[in-house]
Amino acid sequence: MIHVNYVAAAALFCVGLYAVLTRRNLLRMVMGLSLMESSTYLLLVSMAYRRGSTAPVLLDPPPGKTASQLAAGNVADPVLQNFCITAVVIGVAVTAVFLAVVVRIAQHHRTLDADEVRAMGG
Amino acid sequence: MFWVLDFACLAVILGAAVMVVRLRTLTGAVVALSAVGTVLTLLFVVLGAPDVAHAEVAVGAIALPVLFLVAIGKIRTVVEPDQVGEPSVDYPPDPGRTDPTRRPRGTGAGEPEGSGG
Repeated sequence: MIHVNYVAAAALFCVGLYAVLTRRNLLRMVMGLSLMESSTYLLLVSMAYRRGSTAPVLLDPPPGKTASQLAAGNVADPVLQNFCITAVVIGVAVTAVFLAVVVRIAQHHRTLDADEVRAMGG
Repeated sequence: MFWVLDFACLAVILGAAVMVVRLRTLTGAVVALSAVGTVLTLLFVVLGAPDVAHAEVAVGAIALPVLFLVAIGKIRTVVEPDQVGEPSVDYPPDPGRTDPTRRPRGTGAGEPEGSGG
């Protein structure tokens, strides 16, 4: 059943890619990149989930369990969740850089249309 | 119950993502992007990742829309109003782009060439 999440992440990535490839407004392209980032978060957290698992916020192992049992047991994988937090923080910084570049392009070329910004086309 | 919440969140996320692409106004697309982040937060809580949900609600629902709206506000002063506000930005190709009778940017009427920069 968790495979539905993977398919949804792939669909979200495709929607973002469609926005990047077909829109001419530079801000729409940045929004498409944000959607692709969101699909990455969804994929990572879905991969961290195990059947019937809870959040990996524990002071001690539950009664009758050892820590090694817990590593393969019924908590979600904290390593992939850490990857996801790192991706979230980096993603907002990258989006801020993209938007700064778009604002500079708009101030320089007086347009947001990617077809009219010839300096980017080479 | 778990899968009901999971699938409902996925459906709302995909719907909001399609709205990001399809909405004609740029501000509406930003709000749809914020909706994607918010519902993704709910999905993270359902999937047992409350710390990721905390980071995502601060970033996806607050910081990202604020960044986009500030960028739109800054761009709005230097480009033509139909590129950031009203429709006819993306497709179809705007036939009025080279029309000399079209209003120059801002509220000035009449003159085909804007008065200076």
